[in-house]
Amino acid sequence: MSTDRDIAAQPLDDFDGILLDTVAEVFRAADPVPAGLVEDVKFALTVQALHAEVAELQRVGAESALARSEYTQTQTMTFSAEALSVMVTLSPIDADEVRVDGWVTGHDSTVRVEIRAGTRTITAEVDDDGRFTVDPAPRGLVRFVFLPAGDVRPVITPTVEI
Amino acid sequence: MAGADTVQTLATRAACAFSSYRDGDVRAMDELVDLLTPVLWHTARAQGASEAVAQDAVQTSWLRLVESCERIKDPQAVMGWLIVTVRRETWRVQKAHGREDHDIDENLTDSVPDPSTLVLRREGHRVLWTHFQELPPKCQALLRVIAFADRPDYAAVSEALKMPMGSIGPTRGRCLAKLRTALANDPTWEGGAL
Repeated sequence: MSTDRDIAAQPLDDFDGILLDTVAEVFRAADPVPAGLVEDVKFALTVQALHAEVAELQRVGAESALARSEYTQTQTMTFSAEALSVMVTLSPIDADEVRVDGWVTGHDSTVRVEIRAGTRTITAEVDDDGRFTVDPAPRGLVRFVFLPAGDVRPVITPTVEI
Repeated sequence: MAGADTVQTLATRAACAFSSYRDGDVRAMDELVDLLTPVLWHTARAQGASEAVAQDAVQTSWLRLVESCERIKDPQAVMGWLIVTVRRETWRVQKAHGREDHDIDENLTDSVPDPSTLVLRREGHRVLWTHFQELPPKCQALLRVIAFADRPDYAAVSEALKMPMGSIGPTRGRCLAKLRTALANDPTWEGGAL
């Protein structure tokens, strides 16, 4: 009979592959990568790459829960950061798209806003009154990135559902 | 890029994404995160890290990668580099919480799933799991991480885990040999019933 040592010295075969695939399958089910970890990592990397300040989500409009399910009501959310505050109003278009109106205050020279949805980025210009519009924007999980002019750090929001 | 090895292993795909990132494709980093986070998660957990410590270690390691980007000469080494970094970060956080051991030790069962919570689809899986849990903790840790890589990457992963005793690839190595012997000696094991 072969000893452990003999068996250890043999080359890997397909059955070793099957055993390891099964080990992976068991661990994948029993101890999955936590939901959100991959997104958290990507977010942290984006913040790092932009040297950005992370805004706080201050408030989501009270009617939002209903609006999420019925796609009919407008919804507002407010973010605040050291450099600026933003109010965003979402007006449903249909099940897939939404109109986004925003108002940036506190920093006069924010020039550009980005809506980052997965690998897709939609850019809008901020006007002299601090207002911007994206119409239409795809529904789903997004982050807003505000890029002020001059020496001010960009501001990135946490992931929100629009 | 993969040299003589034309198989698209996890390490090779990671190397391609990392090269693209360094060449200026920022989105390639997202692909790299998608590819490697599972093996890194299990690297941290296999060392007995709690879920919170493991998440912290994985996230910090990704940030370190961006900081150290230029120091990684060979893109093919990026997976091993991240595994080493996760192992060290896990150790660092655990040490901050009062643990002194560095290497994967003999008492790390808190991150091993409880079989009673597992749905083991087939009888073969249950028998395999029983024997897996009877392996020395270091072997369990090695096989757990190896299982999330591809065969040509096993040797690099063993090295990154600092576990030459169990080194797998091109030969089977001691840990897999122990598992196969245990299965072969189990009368309830019906060969390749997986």
